[in-house]
Parts: sequence; structure tokens; C-alpha cells
Amino acid sequence: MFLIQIITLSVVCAVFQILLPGNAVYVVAAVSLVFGLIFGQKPSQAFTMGLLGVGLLWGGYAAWLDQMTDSILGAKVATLFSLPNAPVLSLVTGLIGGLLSGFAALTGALLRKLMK
Amino acid sequence: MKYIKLLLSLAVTAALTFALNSKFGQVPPLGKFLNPFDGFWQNAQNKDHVQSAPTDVKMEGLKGNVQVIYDDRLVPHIFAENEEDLYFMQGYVTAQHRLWQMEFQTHAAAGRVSEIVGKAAVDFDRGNRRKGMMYGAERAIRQMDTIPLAKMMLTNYAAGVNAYINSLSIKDLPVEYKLLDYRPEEWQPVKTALLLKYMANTLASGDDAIENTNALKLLGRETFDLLFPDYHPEQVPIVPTDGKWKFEPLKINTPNVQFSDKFYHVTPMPKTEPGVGSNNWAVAGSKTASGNPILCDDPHLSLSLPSIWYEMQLVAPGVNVYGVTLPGAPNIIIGFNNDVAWGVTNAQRDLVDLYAIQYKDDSRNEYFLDGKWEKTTKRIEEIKVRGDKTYYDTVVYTHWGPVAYDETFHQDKQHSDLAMRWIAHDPSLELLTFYYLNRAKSYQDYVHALTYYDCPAQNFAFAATNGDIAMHIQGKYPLKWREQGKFILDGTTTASAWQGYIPDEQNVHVLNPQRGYVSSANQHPSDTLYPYYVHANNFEYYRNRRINHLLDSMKDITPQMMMDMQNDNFNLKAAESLPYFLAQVDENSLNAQQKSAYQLLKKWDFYNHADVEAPSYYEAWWDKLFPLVWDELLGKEIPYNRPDAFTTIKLLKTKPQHPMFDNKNTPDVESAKEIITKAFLQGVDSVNNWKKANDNKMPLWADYKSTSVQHLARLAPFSVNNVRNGGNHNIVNATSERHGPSWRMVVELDKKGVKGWGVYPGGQSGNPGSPYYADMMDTWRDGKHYELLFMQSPTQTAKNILLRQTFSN
Repeated sequence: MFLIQIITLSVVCAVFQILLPGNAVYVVAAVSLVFGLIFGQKPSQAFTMGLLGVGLLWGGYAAWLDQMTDSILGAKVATLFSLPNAPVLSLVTGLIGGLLSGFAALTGALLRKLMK
Repeated sequence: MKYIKLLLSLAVTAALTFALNSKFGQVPPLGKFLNPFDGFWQNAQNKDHVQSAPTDVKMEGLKGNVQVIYDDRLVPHIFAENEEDLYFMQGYVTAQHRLWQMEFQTHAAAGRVSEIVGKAAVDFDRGNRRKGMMYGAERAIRQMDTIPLAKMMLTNYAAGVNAYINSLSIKDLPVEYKLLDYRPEEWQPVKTALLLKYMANTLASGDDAIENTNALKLLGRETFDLLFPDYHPEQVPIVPTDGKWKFEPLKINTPNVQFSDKFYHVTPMPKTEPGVGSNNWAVAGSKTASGNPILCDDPHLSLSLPSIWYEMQLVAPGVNVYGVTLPGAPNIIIGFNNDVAWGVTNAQRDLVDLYAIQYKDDSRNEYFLDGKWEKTTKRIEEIKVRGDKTYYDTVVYTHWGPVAYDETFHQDKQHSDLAMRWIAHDPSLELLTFYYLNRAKSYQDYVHALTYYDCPAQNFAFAATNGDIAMHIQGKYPLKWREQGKFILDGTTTASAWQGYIPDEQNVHVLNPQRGYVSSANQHPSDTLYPYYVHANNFEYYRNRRINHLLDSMKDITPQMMMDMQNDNFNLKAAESLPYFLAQVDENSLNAQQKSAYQLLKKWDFYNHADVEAPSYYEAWWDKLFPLVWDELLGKEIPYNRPDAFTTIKLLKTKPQHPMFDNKNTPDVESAKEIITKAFLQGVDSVNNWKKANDNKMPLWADYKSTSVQHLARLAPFSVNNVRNGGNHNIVNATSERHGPSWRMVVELDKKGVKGWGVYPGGQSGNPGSPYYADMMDTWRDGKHYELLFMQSPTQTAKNILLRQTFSN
């Protein structure tokens, strides 16, 4: 069940990011908050859902794009951010997306607890 | 407790949302930038990316069908059914590969960099606005708007660029927009005019009136003339005249006005850098193996990525031309067609004069001119500053032009108002020159095309399949009396003004000279018998003599020999100075390390090849010697110029006891011998220090010099560093640390089919995430050229075609 929730969050975030280009941060925050609100998970579970759902979505997609292009740009931007290589940069990408989603989902879950 | 947790969590979420969408200093908005859906990861491409583009594309705004064929270096060959569509697609295709560069360069020209990067660029922006770059561009565009042909090119080119901008999704925005967090704006024709002003600023803004005025006052007339002569008799001009000029020159009155006689504590704005220059030459059939003329050109500019040039072929009824373009301007700038080829080098000439202005009062509403108070006009420059409040700068315009320097700009010790008269402020139609050159079939067509060319002045080399070769030093040159504009002029009388311009037909030029070739390398256009006064602060003395020496000695020339010659590393400056320098050093006084450097130099053949050590020692020696010689003129609050390398070496050799060589800080009296020796010891030290800093690596010239091709926004990972190449300033292969040949082209004018070879240090794509971003760099470094695919029809087959696209309405 938890796995399905994670995958659903991932897919819905992906769809809305494609539909609303340029609003990735708002999309992830809003979708994750709503999912945290409706799923009725424990707060820690909601946070983990976001961390994994969007973390894997962002990190995985970034790593795949990077793989397809032989790190041609990933390596340069990693240097720009003083990171050792492109894989680390995709990890950071995943972490940033994951944290954003995690806190938004946590907020949703806490809100639900409060409303009960 | 529940509330606190919720509020805390909400606060973290809100803070993250805000932070990930905001730019902090140099750091881009991380969420926008890193997310893989429309952040930078989407800009990464592989080799398949090009081929995956659609073959049929609907394009509103086209009249007919246009085919765009890309070869394996991503050079577009555009075949249009009419000229409107041709320029539309030139704009579209260029923007597709170079949009950020086009916009950034024109923002820079307009003094709008602060909008993007914040207050660090305010001084730069003020400078460009005070130089009147936008004022000049606006005047140019007003003139072009009255000529239907010019308007047709500009509006269609702009429409093509805008069609691309409007088709862009956020994920496809060039990565620099994502990194610097801004968006492209609509492309307007005035931006093309701004780009031409950008080139004028790069090539024709060299003025030394402030420094010369100071130097004359400091040194006195005799020493000044010794250090800054207008001409050395050893010079070999572009067009040797044998004393005969067949025209009646216009009369110039030398008015009775005084040059300014005071020190100017004014920091001059950055100007044309040394290292910006070029080589071009054309050899007649009488000197070639095939009997066909061959034309060669390699403009030297600041080495940058995306590359300054973008290669393409343009075909429509009445035109089939191949060459390089400046992203942002229609037409081919340097190239060839089925009948002719042309290439340019910068024509050095003082085209900026400064006039000292006398205001009536602090309101700056009136200034003194010819005994009366004249009204000024004011232009309020609104410089938007990212993350800061808008900076307003009032620039005062006079009869002469904008008052570039005043108490608010680049002076703190004194108050001097200096107005700037610059050729680039005048309306002009350079666009038409390139329109007609692209279609030229003969020498007459080329001469006609050049009549539209004003600025930046260029040496246009020319060759045609009918056998003609020519060189025209073309530009709009003011008629000047002797030394007019070399020093700051009196701006209170119109007697100081330019008295007109040299008629085009009296500009220095030559057609089919006896010697069988024409050549130029930024030297003097002619000798002192040319009836007009010619002055510039940056004439070249070495490359040109080497080129002429080689061409004089060559026969049965092949294109390959010309390509090799573009990579010639012979250091004529070293050949003329090193034996003398070595003779000044007492070998017995040297330690072992110094002795081995001395021996290395003694055995050196004067070639600045990449993999030898001697040039590192020579150049290190020179880099120490030059400032030691001119210490009187350096590091002072008052700006002075330094004499050029040729003059310096000549003085060291011919006047070794001159007081100039004495270091005033020591009790002893030094001569050339002492400072040459001192510089040698310091030079060896610098090489040793370099070795210590580089794991005791051998100081091979390419490594010691370390050429880097930098990204326009100075983003280090998008630059290519340590490009191992020989050459240097004053060498035919003019690759120095930051400057060098920005496009090498060789064209054989064969009646049976014109053939071209070319290469530039970069790649067609401006995207650092594309395999075509810097794919030509290694070929360029190795001194090789690509054979250019000059197509005669869109159906022509060739094995190196990547993609054929058809665009239609």
C-alpha cells in the first residue's frame, strides 16, 4: 500500500510538472501537501513518502538524462557547484526534490491530524 | 503542541518553496535549475539529438518552402525560394543555436548587463551608454529603415529569431538563462545595429588622446616623438606606393588651435585590446600551382565560447554564399561564392577624438562654442540593476557627441568634461555591403559593395575566379590635419572639428599588384607619402613582414601550403631582438640554471612551437623586460600608454644609453645592458616558479602559455582550458593566452568550382550540453582545416549530411 502511495505521488508530480512547465517547485509542494492530507498516513510516513517519491523521481530522471548524454552537461554543472561528478549532482537533485516533497507531505499529514 | 508542529512544518515547506525558486548571489534558483523536467538536465544532448528533429516543419511567416540541410559539423545549408524567407530562416536557425549569445552581446552593447548580473556591471553599463552605443545604434537603424532592402533583411531576420523564441518551451531555454535566471525578450532590428556597434567597440574604439596628452606633457616633444612615432621606416605597409598616388587630395586647413596642455587624471574606459588583429592575403594565379587565385583570412579576436562566428551557407535566387556570420546580423560576413571570396582584417585608425568641453555652470545646460553659449541635450540613461534600485545616469550630448567623461565618471582628483566624437555614432549601412558582397561576381561588384561600408574600418582582401586579387582599406575616415585627435582637442571652437571625410576612391587600395599577392596584418595602410594623415595607437610590425617574406619566397602555391602558413609559428620579434639581448648578458656571471636557459635560447630557431621550452624563456624574459623599460610610465595615477614592442626593441638596440633605461629608484645609472640582464634573471625565475607550481613539469611553450577559450559569462566549466597550441602575439599563428585566430579560412578560386577550407576554435552549437559545443577545438589546435561542403543544390548528396528539414507555411 505504502509503495503504491509513493508511486502515485511520483506519477502525479511528473504529470503536473509536464503540464505546468516552469512551476516544478510549486507543483511538487502542492501535490505532496494534498497527498499528505488525503492519505491519512502517520506524519513520519508522509515525510518518507515525499522523500522517496519525489526524491527518486527527480534523482532517477536526472541520472537517466545524464546517462543518455554521457554526462556532457552534468559533469560541467557539477564542477560549477564544486561537486565531484554528475552522479553526485543527480543525488543532490533527488535530495532537494525529496526534501521539498517530504516537508510538504508532512505538513499535509499534520494538518489532517489537526482537523480530526 | 500539534499547532507548533504544523506551523514548523509549514514554515519549512514555505521556506523551501521560496528558496528553491530564488536566486541567491551567484547561485541559481536550485529547484527551478535542478529539477529534471525543465531545469538544466534537459539541455544535455547526445549525437542523436540532431537527427531526431522533425523533417517537415510548419513555420508561420514563410512565403515558400525552405530547406535546411545540416552537415556533420552542424553547419546549416539554407535553400530558400526568395530572399525574405532566406533571412527569416537565417535568423531562425542562428537563434536555435546561439540565442543566449546573441542576446547577451547586444545587452552588453546596450549597457544592460546589470539587468542580468546586478550591480557589479553598473560601471561597465555606464561606460557603454556614455560611449553612445545605443545612440549610435538608434541612428543607424533610422537610416536603415529608409532603405527598403536593409529593412527587408532586418525585419525578416528579426521575425525568424522571434519565431524561434516563441516556439521555445521552458525546458529548451538555453542553459545560461536557467543559470542566471532570466528569459529572452523579443528580438528587434535595433539589436542587429547594436551588434555592429559591439564590433565597432571591439575593433575601432582605440583612442589614446588622454594618455598621449599626459605623455606629451610629461616627456616633452622630443622624447614623446621618439617613444610614440607615427611611422617607422622599417615598416612594410599594406600597399607600398612607390611614391605615386594618382589622385588630387582634398585640401585640409590646419587651424591655429592648441592641444590641451595639462595632466588628465581620467581613467580611460577599456578599449580595443592588443591581440585583437588579423591576417589576410590573396595570391594571384601566377604564384599558385593550379593557376587559380587563393584567398586566406584569419581574424584574431578574444577566444570565447560560444564562438564569435557561426558558419553557414545561404542560397536563394541570385545568391549562393558560404562563410561565417555574426550571430545577430544577416548575411555572411567573411566567405565566398561561386565567383569571388573576401576576408577582413582590422584597419587600425584613430576614429575616436576627445574634445574638452566648457560648461557655463553646473546645470550643464549650456557649453561654450565659437564665442557663444550653445544648448546641450541630455539623455537620461535608466540602468536597471538586478536586486537593487535603478541607476540613473544623465549623459550630456553636445555638437561633438556624448560627454563620455565628466566629474561623475572615472575621475576623482579633478574635473574634466570630455566629449567623444566617434565614427560609430554616424548613421551607416554596413548591412548593404555584406548583402552585395554575398552576391558579388567581379571586382566591380566588390568595389560597389564597399561604398556602403563605414565602420569598423577593415582591410578587405579579395580574389575572383577571373584572376583578380585586390585589397581595399575601407572605412569612413575623417580628414585630419597632422596629429588632430592624437591629443585632447579644444571643444570650444568648431575649428577643432573634422573637415570632412576621405573620398572612398582615395582610400588606400590596390588591384592586381606586380608582386602577385596582397596582404594585410593590421600594419600601416601605406607609407608616409600617402597624402592624408594616418594615426592609430596599435599598428602591427611583425606579422605583416613575416607574411610578405613567406609569400615573396613561395611559388607553385597550393591550398595546403596556405593552411600551413596560417599556422606559422616563426617569432620574428624574437629573431630581431634575442641575439641582441643575449649579447648583453654576461654568461660567466650566471648560475647553472640560468646558464642552461641561456644556452637553450642561444640554440633556439625562433619558432614558438607548442612542444619546445625556449619560447617560454624568451616570452618570460620579454614579459619582465617590457615593464622594466617603461617603469616611468606605469603604475601612476595619471594614465600613460606604453610604446609598442617594435619601438621598445628598436630603442634598446639603437639608444642603449638613453636616460629612459635608467631605473630612477637606484643610485646607479643603468643602461639597456643592465635592465636586459636584470629581466633575464627575473624571467628565468618566473619559469622556475612556474615549474614549482606545476609538479616540476617541463616548461613547454603550450603549457607555459596555457591558452584558454573562455565562456562569455566567464563560467569556468563552460570554458575550454589549456588548449595546447604554439604561436603568440606578433606571430602569424597569433594564439596567445586569451586571443587568437577566431576563424581560419582558405579559398581556392577555381572556375570549375570554388573550394574552401575552414575551422574555428569552438563549435556550431552554443549549448555547453551539446556535442557540437566545442567539437572543432582539437582540429583548430592541431592546425588543421575542414574541407567545407559548398553545396550547389539541395538535392546534392554527400556522405556527411546529418539532417534535411523542410520548413513551410
